Amino acid sequence: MNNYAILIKKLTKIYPPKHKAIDELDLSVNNSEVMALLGPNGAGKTTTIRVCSTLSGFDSGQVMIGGLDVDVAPDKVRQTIGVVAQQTGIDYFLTGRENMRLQGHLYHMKKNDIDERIKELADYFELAEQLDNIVSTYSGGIRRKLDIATALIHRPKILFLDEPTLGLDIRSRKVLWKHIEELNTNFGLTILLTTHYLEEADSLSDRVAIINSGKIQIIGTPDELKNSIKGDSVVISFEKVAQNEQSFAYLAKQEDYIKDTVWDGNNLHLYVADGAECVPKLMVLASQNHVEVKSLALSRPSLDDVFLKYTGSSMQGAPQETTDEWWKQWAGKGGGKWAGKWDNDDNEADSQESPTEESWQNKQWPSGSEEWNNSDQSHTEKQNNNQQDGSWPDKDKWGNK
Amino acid sequence: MIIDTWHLFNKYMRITIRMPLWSLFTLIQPLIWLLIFAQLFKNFVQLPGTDSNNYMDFMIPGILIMTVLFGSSWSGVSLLREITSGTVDKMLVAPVSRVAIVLSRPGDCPSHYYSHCCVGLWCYHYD
Repeated sequence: MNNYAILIKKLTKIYPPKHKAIDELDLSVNNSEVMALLGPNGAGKTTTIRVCSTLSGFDSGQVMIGGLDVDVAPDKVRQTIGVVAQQTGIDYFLTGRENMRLQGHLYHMKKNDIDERIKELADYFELAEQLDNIVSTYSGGIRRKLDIATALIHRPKILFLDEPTLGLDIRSRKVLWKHIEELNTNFGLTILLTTHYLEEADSLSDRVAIINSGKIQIIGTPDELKNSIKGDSVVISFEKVAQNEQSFAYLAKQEDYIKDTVWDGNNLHLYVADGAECVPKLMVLASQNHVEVKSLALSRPSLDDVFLKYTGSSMQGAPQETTDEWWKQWAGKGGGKWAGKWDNDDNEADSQESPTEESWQNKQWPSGSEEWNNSDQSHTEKQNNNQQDGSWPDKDKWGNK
Repeated sequence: MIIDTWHLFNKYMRITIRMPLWSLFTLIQPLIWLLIFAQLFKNFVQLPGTDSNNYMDFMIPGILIMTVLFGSSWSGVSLLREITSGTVDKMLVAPVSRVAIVLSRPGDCPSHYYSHCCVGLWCYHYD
């Protein structure tokens, strides 16, 4: 059991009344490994991190961090982990040094030890110059670096990074990647990170776990995952998706040289053994079906394709995250007696508003849609097509009325 | 727990000292109420049915209660600010005493608490 830095068994977390954020999730991370959790918004990545870092309770299952149960010895677990949350947790009114010193004190470190460690980390993250300035004068990249530095002040063995490069420009992102990679190689830190960026998961992590609706869909090294989609991927973009295109996709799927097809908005992803060979065949098939192809691209499978295969939606088209109210994150086990009431209130409020993303996912017509159907017949037809095929409807169609 | 409280209290005191204008305002505010309303309603005691001859006997306890209520509610508001900005999460992942997080609050808007003393002193002087 001690071989694993993080061991999660059948973890389930329900946000009351019945939203399953994590659904019997099993995950194990070896010592000194970088594991990336990859998934669309609302997949349960942040919740997993919050449970692992003792910030959130859970409903059933077992979570062992460094061989310690988070439910039995949360304080000991806290001593061994460092956490960088999605939001920067540093105080804007204090200087960088004060932030780090406070965090050191909170971990009950000795004063000399804290000063020594601050110097060490400031050198490592190249923060020495800005350390005595107020944090609100820092740029986003430096804030992020300081955030990670404060999380490392007590020499943790396991580091949780929740979207560490969110909102950073490419240069700061690259710098941060380098630091994270070195933390792992030089200091043997176990890192569990969540990310939206496929290239980040690809370049940083030893193993990638693709997570969707609270479950691990597939887990493996980036190369393994890419190899699991054999051959090439062909992406055909259409101007619009109507009956012809649907039937074209259906016919294409019947051909033996095509392994799998996935719809992604107006794009059709086809997975084939030999891309160059099948492109002419596809063009012929397209012209036979009177389908107008806007563009056609042939590529080696990337993590995006893997992602698409296992989650049924690509990263770009992922629905926006609806951030929970803070009290719900704290709801813990059962959520307290008011949690249910709050949720009901929210639902009532939602049902009066325009159709939400969720109603799409459940493939239900929102109650107020009849009036709208009459006003725009052509759109409705399109949507009905999508609806019948069970494919992912383009969300723009809602907006462009 | 006491050491944790001390460190967090220190943090809030630092922030308060860095925003002197804010503290000054919260100190002056109850005094302004006191001055305005004392002048405005001082003849209130002359109404039939009031026992006291001095309006200040009504006014000062009222202002004191008001500053206490405002002061404590501001502590709550600043805790909320910290929860939404993520700094409380940063404390909670550390093995810090949970009680200390609440106990250190008076450091956050100390001027509210000192304004009680201020009004108290003023009251003492008046008597």
